Amino acid sequence: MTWPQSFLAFLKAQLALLLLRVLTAGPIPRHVAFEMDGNRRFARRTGRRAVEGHSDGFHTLKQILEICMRLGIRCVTVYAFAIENFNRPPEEVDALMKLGEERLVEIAQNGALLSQHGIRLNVLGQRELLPSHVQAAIEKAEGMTRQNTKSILNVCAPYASRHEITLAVQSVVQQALDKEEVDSSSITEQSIDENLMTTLGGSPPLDIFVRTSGVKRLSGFLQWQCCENTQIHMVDTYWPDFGLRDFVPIILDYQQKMWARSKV
Amino acid sequence: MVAYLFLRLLHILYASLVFLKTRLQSRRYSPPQPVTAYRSKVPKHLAIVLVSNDTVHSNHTEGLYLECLARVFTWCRALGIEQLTAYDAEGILLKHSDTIRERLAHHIELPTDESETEPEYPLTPPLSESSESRSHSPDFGELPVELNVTTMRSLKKGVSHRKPREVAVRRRALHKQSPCSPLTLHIISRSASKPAIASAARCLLDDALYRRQNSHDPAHAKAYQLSTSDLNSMLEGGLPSPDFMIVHHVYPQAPQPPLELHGFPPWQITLTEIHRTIIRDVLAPPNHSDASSKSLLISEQAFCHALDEYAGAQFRMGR
Repeated sequence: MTWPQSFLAFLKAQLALLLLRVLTAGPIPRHVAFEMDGNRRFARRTGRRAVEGHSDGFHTLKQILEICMRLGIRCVTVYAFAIENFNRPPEEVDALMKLGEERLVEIAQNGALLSQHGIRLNVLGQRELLPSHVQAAIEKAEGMTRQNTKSILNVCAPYASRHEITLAVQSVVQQALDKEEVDSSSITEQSIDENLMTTLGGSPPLDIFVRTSGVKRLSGFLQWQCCENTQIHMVDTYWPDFGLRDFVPIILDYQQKMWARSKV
Repeated sequence: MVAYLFLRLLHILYASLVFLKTRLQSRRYSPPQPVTAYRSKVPKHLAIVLVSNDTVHSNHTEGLYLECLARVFTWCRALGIEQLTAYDAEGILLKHSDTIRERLAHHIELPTDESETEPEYPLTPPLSESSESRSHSPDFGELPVELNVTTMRSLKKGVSHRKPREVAVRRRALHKQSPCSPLTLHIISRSASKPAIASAARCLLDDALYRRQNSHDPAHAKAYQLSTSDLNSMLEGGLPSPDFMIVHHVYPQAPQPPLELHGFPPWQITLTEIHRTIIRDVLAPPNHSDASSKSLLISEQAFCHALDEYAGAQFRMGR
């Protein structure tokens, strides 16, 4: 990189930091979810393999997490792998498992990085469907960060919202059966909410839901959490291209909602 | 303080950009295809979500909701859409279900089927994800859960009353050709959403308790297990999942705030394509001289725009 390019990059970075500082002067969402869609289409656009798109997607995830941390967003949930994604070509599934395991091992080895920012890592989903070495890596990474309380990163893999709701219903029924006196009136929507994986991991209510790549469906992500009082943004940008240009308007929209609400 | 002022400035800049973008989009606006135009894909089950301002609940809102529903109902019949779910969080439509039945009486010939005390098997099979198998235990679909769904079914005019199963078979075969196909209308409010899942859970508890008390070894009961397909047969038994959802604000704001789902039943929206009407596409109610109320009905143009978007959507099913 030539020195004018380096200088411009430095200036751009400083302006971005300034912008984030300005945003923190207003209301900041407590919990934001990202359905990181479009990695494969992004790669195919430049004639590359799908797996490379996932690598780019991971790089974007790190950048977005940093932005969220600087903004003071306490909880971020990402949809890394759906239960249905096991239907993908085996080589792609294997590559994704490998990518996930490598990153988890990295987190476990550099546990200090997450601890430095006080981030607790929760991996949510039907863990038993994952290869045993990936499960082991997850347990290690989660164990290292369990005591952190400043912020939460939920990685949903392999996850399906209906499965999460079913487990929550199963839990509330089991809890009621375990009591001395079984009382069905103790089961409410509140008690089901308290038994969702996100809530059990300490997550606050979901304020913003973002899906990239132009798809206008939830596809099994956080259905209970986002069906009420959550602003939903379906942006056309592919996930690897997602950045401040898309995220800042989303934050501004949230702030307008909060300000309007405080006037009422 | 300085940062706050800069933030307000940023908001003004953002609002201006949004305004300009909306104006530019208006200029480049192209009208959609007409209702009866060929589309490669038409939803089998459409949901219409009607939204008003939180503070405004009046006869005017009720009138708007009823008019919007009547319009969508008519268009759905013309297109051969088999099921229509009408939702509003506050339950205004539910409150007026008798009025709705009277108003659509020339389309609807069967009495209202209230599914508050007993679940119903839908006339068309519930739409479920390819990964879910049917419940091994048909009992789950027969548990008395309060799902709070009001269902009305119309028959093709002139057809004599048949058993529900036969009507369903006939309906599937005819819906593409018939200009006024039979249509099942579900009217729901927030009570069919998370509270219905809680109701299902209470039902499951009662059932589990009953089984435990009647088991051979009640003292050593196994851990309670519930499968997704069993819960699905309870919930979709009363309200199948819509393919497509249109969210319409009857008191739109400019600029439009981001999409929200206003408490629509969460179980049923796994694969639902979601669309919101845009201000450009809607129209003021006729005979309404009070320009300051700024209420808007859903127009045929808005409906067609939504259908065009649905026809263009791609489904990869996880692959």
